[in-house]
Amino acid sequence: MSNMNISRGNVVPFSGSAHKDKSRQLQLLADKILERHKQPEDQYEVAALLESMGWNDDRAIKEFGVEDIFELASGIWDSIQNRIVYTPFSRTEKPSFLRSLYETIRTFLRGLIFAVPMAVSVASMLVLKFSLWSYQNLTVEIATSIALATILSFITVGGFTQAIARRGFFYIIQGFYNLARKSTFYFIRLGFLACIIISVLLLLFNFLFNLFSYEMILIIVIYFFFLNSIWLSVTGMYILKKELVFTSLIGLGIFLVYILFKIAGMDIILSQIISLLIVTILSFILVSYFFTKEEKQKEKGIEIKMPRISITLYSVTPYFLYGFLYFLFLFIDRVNAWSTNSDFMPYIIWFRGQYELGLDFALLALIIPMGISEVIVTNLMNDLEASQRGYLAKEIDKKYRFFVRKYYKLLVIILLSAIASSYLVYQLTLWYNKISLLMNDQNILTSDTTRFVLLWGIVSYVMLSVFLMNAVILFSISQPGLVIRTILPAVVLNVVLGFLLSRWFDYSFAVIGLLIGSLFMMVLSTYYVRRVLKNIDYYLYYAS
Amino acid sequence: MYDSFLNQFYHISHFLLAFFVLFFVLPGWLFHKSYEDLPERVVARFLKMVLLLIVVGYLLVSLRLFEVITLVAVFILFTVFNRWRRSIKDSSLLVKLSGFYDFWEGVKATGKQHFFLWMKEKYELFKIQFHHLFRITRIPETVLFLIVLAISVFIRFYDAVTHAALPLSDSYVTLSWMKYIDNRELFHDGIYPQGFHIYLATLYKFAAIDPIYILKYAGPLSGILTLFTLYFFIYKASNNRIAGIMAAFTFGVFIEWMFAYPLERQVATNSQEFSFIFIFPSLYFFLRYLEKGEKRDLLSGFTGTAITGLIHTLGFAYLGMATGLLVLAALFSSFKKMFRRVIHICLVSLGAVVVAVIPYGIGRLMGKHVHSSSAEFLTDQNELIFTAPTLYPMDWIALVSLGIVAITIFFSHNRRLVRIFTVLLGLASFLLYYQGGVWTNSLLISSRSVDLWTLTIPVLLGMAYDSIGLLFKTSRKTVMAEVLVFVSLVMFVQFYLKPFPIEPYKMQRDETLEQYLKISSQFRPKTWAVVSNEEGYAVVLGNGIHMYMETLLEEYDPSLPPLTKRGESQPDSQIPDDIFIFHEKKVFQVSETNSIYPLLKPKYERRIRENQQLVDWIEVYKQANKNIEIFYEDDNLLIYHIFKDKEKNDYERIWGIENEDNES
Repeated sequence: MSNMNISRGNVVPFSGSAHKDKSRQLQLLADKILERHKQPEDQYEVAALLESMGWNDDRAIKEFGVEDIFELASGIWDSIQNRIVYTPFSRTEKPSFLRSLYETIRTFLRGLIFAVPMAVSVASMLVLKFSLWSYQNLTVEIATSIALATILSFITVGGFTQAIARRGFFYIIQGFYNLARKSTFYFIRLGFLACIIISVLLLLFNFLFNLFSYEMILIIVIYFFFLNSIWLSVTGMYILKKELVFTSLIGLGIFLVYILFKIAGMDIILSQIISLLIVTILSFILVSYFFTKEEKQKEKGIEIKMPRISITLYSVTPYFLYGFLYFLFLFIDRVNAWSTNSDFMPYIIWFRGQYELGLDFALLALIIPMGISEVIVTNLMNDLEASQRGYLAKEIDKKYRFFVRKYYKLLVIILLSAIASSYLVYQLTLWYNKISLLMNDQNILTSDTTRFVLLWGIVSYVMLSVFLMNAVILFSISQPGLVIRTILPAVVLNVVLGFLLSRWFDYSFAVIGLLIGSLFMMVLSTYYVRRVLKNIDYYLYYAS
Repeated sequence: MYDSFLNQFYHISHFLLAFFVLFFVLPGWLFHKSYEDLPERVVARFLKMVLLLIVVGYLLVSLRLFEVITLVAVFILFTVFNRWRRSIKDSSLLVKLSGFYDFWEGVKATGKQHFFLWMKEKYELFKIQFHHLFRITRIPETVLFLIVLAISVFIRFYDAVTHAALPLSDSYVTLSWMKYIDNRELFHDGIYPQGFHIYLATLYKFAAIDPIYILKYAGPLSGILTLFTLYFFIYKASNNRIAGIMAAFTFGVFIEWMFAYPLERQVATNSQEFSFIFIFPSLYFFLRYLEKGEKRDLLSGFTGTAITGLIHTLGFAYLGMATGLLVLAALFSSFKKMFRRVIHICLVSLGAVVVAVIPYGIGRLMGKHVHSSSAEFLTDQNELIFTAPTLYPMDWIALVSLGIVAITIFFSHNRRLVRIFTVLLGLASFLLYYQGGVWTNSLLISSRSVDLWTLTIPVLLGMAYDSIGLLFKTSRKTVMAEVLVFVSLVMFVQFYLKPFPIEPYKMQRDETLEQYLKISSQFRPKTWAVVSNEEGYAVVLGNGIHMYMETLLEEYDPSLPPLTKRGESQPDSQIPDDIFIFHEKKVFQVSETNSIYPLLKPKYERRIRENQQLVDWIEVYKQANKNIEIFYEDDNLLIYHIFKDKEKNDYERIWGIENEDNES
């Protein structure tokens, strides 16, 4: 510093009124800089802005007596930093208890709503013994085909549904329904393209390598195609918050199967295929209709073009990967179990209902924690938003500690709810077994495999629910990379451990891969969330 | 029907596709392009792939993880690792990633154009190779080779596509050992090189057809591949295609008329014949190494030698002897220049011995002993049996050829090393064949040295042909003249001698195997049982349940519900719902002139007795039970189908749900 002292945070006057003037001039200049850019990165950006405003070294020396424009920029940067301290301080108003309760219940139900179509299907299976794409008395060949088609459809479409949801919500929140529609249908088209390519490859591969009989491969491809279509349309309805419409469509589909199969006496597979076709067509018509309707009602007046495809793809790639890996993680243990070569293996993979039954019941344990998770994440995000205006800059560590503590509390809540949910599911399974014994003389829990898978499946899903909560938190702070870094090794663990254990001990040990993978995801994602919360300002800035 | 065109087309196409993918497509992804010359590249990659499959096979079977999924995972990991390493080296990954985004933007330079550039590059490469193979001067040679190949294929594959019964008694051992590997059991019957059985089991996994077909096709295919390798060795070592064709013709067609010994082993599926495939490629790469000193040749030679050691002891010993003679020839031709290279070859051959011994070590660690009958065969000595064999025209032709090669060594320095080696190999093989048994009194040498001599004769004829050519100046006219002479020779064989297919002796009737194939295609695995004789065990193993007829007659009471053991009241729960009893009205027997007939005679007498008892057993069963039907009947065979009342329906089977009524 030469003859002018510009120290951090203060412009130190030399003496007299001339210096006061210079200080005022500096403040005025800082105001001008802030008019141009609200949040300059550093003193170098300030220097660049000064230059763009016509300032140079000579002028800086002449008017402020500094060495060069960088020294002036440094002084202005300090001045701007100093102002942050005086940002208006405000506490967010707390909503009333009733309002808060109402919001909590609403959020909880929104979290649960994804399970409603599944609940309708399960109810149909219990009462009618069939649903839109399953039937209790199928042969093992057809059961294998449908199970494979279902798994394959989830894995194929998982990435696309994430991409649709991410981009769809992104535009809808901003009120750009036109863009939301375009991006949704773009990804639906890509989903279909992927589905067609995979179907052709499956047929070709099967023709060359004889994996399944022709009847089986045909069923696999048909169900795969229709289930894909259904998942893609569900996502469209989900972003438009029309889950109940979709649930009704599933109900309609089941009703159609009932008419064709029970009343018209058609073959169950044919009945299901016809119903799936009708439901698929209807759901796409409805998605299109809902989008058009919303567009007319809520679209902002500005016509905005879709961003370049490469940019869209680049931005959704992590979410796409997450969707793909998540479903891979969820189903890979089944593939490990069913492909274990033991007594009955006419094909490379062979459906084992005892394993499926255990996991099906265990999966129910996820429903309540998903609702709770929605509440928790909403709550946390609201607090994060409010905290931006609730802490002084110097209290930053206090803020971090607060959020880490709060996160731990939420973690305990989700864990307790998951454990409670598991207990409920276990009791429900026992109750259902009693009913089954009374009504049909059938003991569904006879098999050791079913009991073993049910137990470890429940434990796995408890841990998975914690991961899912963490994943939503990380997504909310735009950190999909951390989620991928968690789920990718977990998938590998699930695949490798499940595969080895199922081969070395018993096929039911594939569930241990799921267990270890879930444990890994729970621990690592908790670590990442904690790390993010410990430096939350940086991540929020990054997300903005 | 087994021999119907559609049935054979379906099975053979799947078999060949699996073979093609495993040994020609996959190696292109898994390994670097180490040779510019197409035949050398294809052979080197084939060697690498076979070694990889055998090593991975041993490892996976030991870990009880031998299955399609694991094999595919290994291939994918191997490919990804290789490509990743390469892409890091040349930064191609980044280019590809940016290309991905450009593609979606419709940027032609990187999207479509990349594709077209890639296609153009492949097309140009194909054009060069196509021209190389089929250039105008080569067309007559190529056509000639294809004719030789076609006749050889006909001779070897005829039995495989027309008769369901397996060739020779050894096939049943091979079949069951292949199935043990498939079931992840190593050294089930004792320590024995399992390389061939791993190769068969891998083919079976990818072809996904019944193991019977794999066994039927793999044997003739080994013969054809050996023919290729003989052609490859002579052609590349002498740089004379017609000499190569001469070797292929001798092995594939000519030898059939000129030799006293049956060639049925050439169509049977045995590890010895499979090991022969790798002998001459290994020798070729060692020869190349001696000539050029390039490491890749040493590595390829090692790969082939290690494979042979992992497959069969006799093949390995022959290769060892040939390698010894090759290095000896090298030292003869230029001691100073060759010494270091000879040392290298000796070291890698020693390395191959170590590799070949590893499975033995694994077996010992598993507490297994050497396979008893193989060990006995290997060491058996008997003075009374062995005499020098009578020499037949083919032997004399081979000896004359040997003489021609020997004489030309003194006239021309061209390709001297390979000619010295040929002479040494010819002499050693002939002596082994002619006097080996007499000198050593070894059953193994006496009975199998003929197979080694059979393998050496084409080399002698091929090299003799090339040596004669050295005396003349080569021109387009002489090549055409050679081709014409050859065409005449082939025509003579084709129309005068008339090639006849090799038909090995059988242990079962075709109908028995055909009915097994019918049952296995109609019923799910492990849901059916077959009651038959010893051969049935290997056939049914891994697919259904097999029971010896003796067991049925002695242990099961025909007057009780099927199938209940004597002295028990409930049916045996270990027996599946569908049981097929193979009743031989006339027990099948090999010809009395066959050398194994005396060994089998007591067995046949027992089978006749058992089949007579079976008639009574069935009579009693019919009186007590209703659920029996005739599944198949002809003049020789009658198959009864006994079916149990289904204890569980499909719904209960799928979900493992116990019906309380059933329990009570």
